[in-house]
Amino acid sequence: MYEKLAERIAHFSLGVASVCIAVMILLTVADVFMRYVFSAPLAGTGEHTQLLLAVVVFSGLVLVTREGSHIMVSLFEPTLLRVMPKVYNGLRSLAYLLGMLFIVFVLIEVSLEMIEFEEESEVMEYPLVYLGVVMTIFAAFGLFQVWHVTKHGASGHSGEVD
Amino acid sequence: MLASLTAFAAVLVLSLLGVPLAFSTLFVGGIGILWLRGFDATAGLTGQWILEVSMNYGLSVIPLFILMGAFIHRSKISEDLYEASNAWLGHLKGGLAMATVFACAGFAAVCGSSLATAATMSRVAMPPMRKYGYNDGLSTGTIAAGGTLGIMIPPSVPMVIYAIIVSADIGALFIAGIVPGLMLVSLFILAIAVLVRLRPELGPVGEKITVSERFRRSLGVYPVIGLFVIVLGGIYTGIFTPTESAAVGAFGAYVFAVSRGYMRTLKELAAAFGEAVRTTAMIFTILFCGLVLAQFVNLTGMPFQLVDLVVAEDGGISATTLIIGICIICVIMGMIFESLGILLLVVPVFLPSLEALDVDMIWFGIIIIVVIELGLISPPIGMNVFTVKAVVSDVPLMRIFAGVLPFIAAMLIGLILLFFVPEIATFMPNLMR
Repeated sequence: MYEKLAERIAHFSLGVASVCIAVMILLTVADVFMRYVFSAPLAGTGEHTQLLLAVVVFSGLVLVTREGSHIMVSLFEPTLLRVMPKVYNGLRSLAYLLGMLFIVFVLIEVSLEMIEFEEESEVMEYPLVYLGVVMTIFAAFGLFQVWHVTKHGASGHSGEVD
Repeated sequence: MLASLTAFAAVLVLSLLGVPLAFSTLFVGGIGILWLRGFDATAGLTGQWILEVSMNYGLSVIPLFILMGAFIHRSKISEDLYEASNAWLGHLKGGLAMATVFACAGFAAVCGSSLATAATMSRVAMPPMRKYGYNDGLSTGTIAAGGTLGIMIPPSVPMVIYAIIVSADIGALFIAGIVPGLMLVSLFILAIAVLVRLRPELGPVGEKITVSERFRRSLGVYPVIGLFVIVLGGIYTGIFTPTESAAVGAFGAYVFAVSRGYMRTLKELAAAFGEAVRTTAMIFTILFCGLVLAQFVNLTGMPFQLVDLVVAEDGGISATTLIIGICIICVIMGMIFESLGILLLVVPVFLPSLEALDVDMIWFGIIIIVVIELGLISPPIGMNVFTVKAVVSDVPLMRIFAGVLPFIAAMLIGLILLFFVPEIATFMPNLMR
């Protein structure tokens, strides 16, 4: 049950991130085209890019957490895996758990502040709380994937979802 | 200063114990701020960095350039690049190795990743070099060293990160990387020429072909050259911002891939996008977590204590001494951390001192990138060496490390040249201004 749900979430996250990057590219190319051909740039392209980037980062974090592919120093990894595999894997899993928990907590705080101060984006004046909520949800999805990396280990792309 | 040094030591210990670099910097930075300013400040500052980094317009070039590279290298352009380079250089002594350096440079120009360049060129260049009886040490050393060009020749992810940390112009830094990148290519080729002159058996001559055939074999790389010219030419002339240039580059790379028969299925597209998404998430997580640590270090006052030391009236430190010191620290750290870790742990600490000494931050950025490149092929980590080893598993690791030695010497010469002739890096960006 957990495995299936976690995999679906990872698929969904990859899909969202891919669509966001594609939209970033199309918007920017269209903006350049409109600016040079019709002297009529699209309004708020830079801001849309910024908002989409934040979604890409946190939806990508779901995949990176699932696969345990955060950048790490592997100088002593073979030795530690041989000498104390349980401690080594346990410490890494704990780091993933605490790290993701802290990020989720901070993002909840950020979102609450956005609600309290009714923060808006500068150009398009979008309420930023929606972005905060989306980032928090994806970070929580990432937290949900920690069990996967605990169970399967951080083999880079052990649970790769394409 | 003691608090900062303790924090760095803690990051080192946690990282060596297998805690991902992002989380080790987040924990240490977070605990440090908690100790100095309390819980609310810790949550507030961390949230602020997460938002600032995740929504940074300048950083939006990262997923776009990574995607451009993914489209290009999944279009199997590496074979064409190698064939073209080989057509022009293969008939010389050591020509196949020289062709490998050129192909690496060409691949780096559209890929931006040292590891991807080394891994791809290992698959492409190793079989022909073996066919013509090239020494394994020279072959693998050339590929590992050639791969480092990935972070010098723009677009380059470490350059973007550096530019964001020091608030430099990303476009100017990209343009500044062109001449030093070409200089390194020349020095690598010179190193190969000297090697095969001294020991001709290391790199026998390859196939000789006519000039018209050389042009014919180069046909496949013209679109890539065109893409490179549009991307960097656009930045140089001011037609595009770096983000626009990256978006146009990614779009062009997609069209190029489709025209070659790739990226036509959802599976292929998902793989390319997946590569961009994962790498982006890894980089951004390290970035915002690393900046939390940098914030703690700033709060301890260490960077400003260093400024006092550097500009002390009773015998401060010269810019040259400081930069040599930073380079030595980076080389030592390069034995443990990869490029992003070095940039995030070292640059913010010394930034105020460098600014106080009026160091040109574009030039310094290029120096740091060369030092990081050195770390990519220096023992004991030498990530490029291990990447080549992973692909060409039958060559002993020590032989690959021996093979990169002439290129390490070439890089050191390049570093010295850059040090004494800063115009190598600053000439083109100054023209932009």
